[in-house]
Amino acid sequence: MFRRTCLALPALLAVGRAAAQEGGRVPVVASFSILGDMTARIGGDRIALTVIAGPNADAHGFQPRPSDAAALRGARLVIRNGLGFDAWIDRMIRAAGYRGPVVTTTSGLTPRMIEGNHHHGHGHGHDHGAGRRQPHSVGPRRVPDPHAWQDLRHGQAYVRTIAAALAAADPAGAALYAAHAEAYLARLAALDAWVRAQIATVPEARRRVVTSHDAFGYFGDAYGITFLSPQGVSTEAEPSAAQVARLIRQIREEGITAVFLENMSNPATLRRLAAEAGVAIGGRLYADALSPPDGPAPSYEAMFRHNVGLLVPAMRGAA
Amino acid sequence: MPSRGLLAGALLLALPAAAQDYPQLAVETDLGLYAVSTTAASDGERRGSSLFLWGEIAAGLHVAPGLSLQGVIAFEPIGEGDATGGTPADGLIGFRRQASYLHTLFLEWKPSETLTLQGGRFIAPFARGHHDLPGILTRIRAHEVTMVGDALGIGGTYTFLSHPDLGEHDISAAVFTLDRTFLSSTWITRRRCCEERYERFDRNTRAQGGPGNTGQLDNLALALDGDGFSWAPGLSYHLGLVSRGPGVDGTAREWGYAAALRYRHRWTAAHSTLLFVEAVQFRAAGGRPRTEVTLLGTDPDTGDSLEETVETTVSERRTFTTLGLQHRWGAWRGTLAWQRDQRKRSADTLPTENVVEVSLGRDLGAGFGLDVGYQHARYAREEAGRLGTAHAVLVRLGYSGGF
Repeated sequence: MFRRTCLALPALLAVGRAAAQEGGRVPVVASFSILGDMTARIGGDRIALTVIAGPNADAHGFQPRPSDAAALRGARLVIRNGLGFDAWIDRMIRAAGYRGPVVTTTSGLTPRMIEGNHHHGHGHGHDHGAGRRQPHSVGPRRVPDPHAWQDLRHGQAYVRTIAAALAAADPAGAALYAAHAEAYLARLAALDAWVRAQIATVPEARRRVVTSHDAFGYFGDAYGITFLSPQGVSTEAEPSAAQVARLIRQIREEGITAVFLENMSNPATLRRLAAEAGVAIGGRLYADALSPPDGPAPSYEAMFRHNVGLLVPAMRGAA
Repeated sequence: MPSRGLLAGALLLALPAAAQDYPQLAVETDLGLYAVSTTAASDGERRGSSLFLWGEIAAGLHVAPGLSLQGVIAFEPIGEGDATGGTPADGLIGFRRQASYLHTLFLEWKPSETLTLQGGRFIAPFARGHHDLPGILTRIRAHEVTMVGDALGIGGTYTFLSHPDLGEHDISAAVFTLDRTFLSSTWITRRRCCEERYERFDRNTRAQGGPGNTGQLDNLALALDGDGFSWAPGLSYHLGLVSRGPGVDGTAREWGYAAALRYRHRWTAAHSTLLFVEAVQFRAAGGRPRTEVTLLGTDPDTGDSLEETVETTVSERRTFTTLGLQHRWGAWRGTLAWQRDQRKRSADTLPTENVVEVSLGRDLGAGFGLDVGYQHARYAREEAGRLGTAHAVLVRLGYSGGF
């Protein structure tokens, strides 16, 4: 057995080196699809990009496979969102023994704070679960909202951070990355202006939207929309019956017409909620992941155009 | 000096975010109103009903990301056996010897995702059932036997392995002494050391002796915990070791070993079954305390009966075992548990106690839950040195929530 491992080792190392030098391109790993799209726009053909949580994959509580860890071994740069969104990639980094640079795109941003799924170690709330014993302590009540990319100004900060990290990892390509980033930033600034113009066409009192998971806080803050959700920030959390009932009352009382599903969430709760409140579901928004290439939101920019294209007419309703 | 440096480092790391949303306080409550109605028992004083409060309020004051002051206030009756039914003597007793005390108060620092450091008064990382065993009285029994509390010292937990297939594994370590400061004081009901029939005293003292009560950091706890195996999702394990130093009263060093497994099998989204098993053993339990035993004999010269009292050391190996199964379907839960407390002694022997508990419970909403159960106990009758039998109806109205 040991002899077989020894014989296999040089071959594995060769595969790793081949991956690291794939056609002379710089191997880069991004944790989820939105970061992957941004990185691809900046890196272009100069990088060989691996995205761990791909299109329509829920990065909240993502379960990496051993093959995902293998992608990290040959990487020259790892790009993650941070703020607890893709904490699983930290575990992958340790598992893979990756020692290279890791860039966190939310570094330097001031996060908005939200109610967390706070729990006391040992599974407090005493659900007597099967998870391992944890240190006996109460976590913070308010935690940073990780969905910062939902504000296009933050998206532009992401782009600058990724471009700088690529330039540091591959100084020979710095000029190319800077040029790509400048063009991309200009497009995002124009998109930001377009989103604001579209939202401005909706009367302020009607800018209220119900979604299946609370991922649009930054979007709401940036563009003046109130998002309501029957669920906490994580797609892993299930709303209680009381939370759902409260939201149904609010939809009826305020005449909210914009009710949306997201590509990541379990739709059953929202469908029940919409049926009981007597409103139709306006479609599917993209929040935490992009669609596959043949879907309506295959890129970060397309995601905004798609979401705003659904939100604006739905908020207007009969107004 | 190094600890002051570490603290300064933690504060500096935390400063940029600290200004934004800190300090913040998070509080969580897990309290139960218990009713134990013993319908039949070998000892008359056990028959009857008792009502008491058992549980805790935990709080974390977060002064910066990763840096918090943690505290837990515990509520429980502190008379011996009161939290498992007590001695209502065919009557009804309510909140007898009900007390509260500061369970823990420590500073916690998480310098990274994988490391947690604690300093202050805490519960040693030994055994786990005392905190979250399913059932009605199962957790209380484990709490009374296996929990190593009143630990004053420093400790930490480090995640040393995190692998997609092999799961996540923590190692925890703590060095501590028995807390004899004012923080060990009991509130509401207070009894001075060392009154019989009381589990806790007004305040821990040097006079009460026992292993670990040394005033020095010569007690040690180590634990290994893991879960997240790709080949067995829902499985977790715990291994623990504790060693408490020789007491100032001449008691010996005590050693404890713990092993626990939990496995939850999800049949459907609404149905799941949890298997839980834990075994804890203390060697030189109590540190081989001195005790008086009465020797009976016959005078070889006169043939008269003789009774002589001699002082001797009691060597004890105490093994506490829990085995149980809980099935949950939606808001309902059914639990079957067996617990065994075996105390092998060199003198002053005690028979092995066995308890079987079966219960049915339901979440009532808004954090409340109700469990109703039946318990069959074979317990040690201290006066007779034999086993007695008791049957009891158990009820727990619990609340779990936070703000």
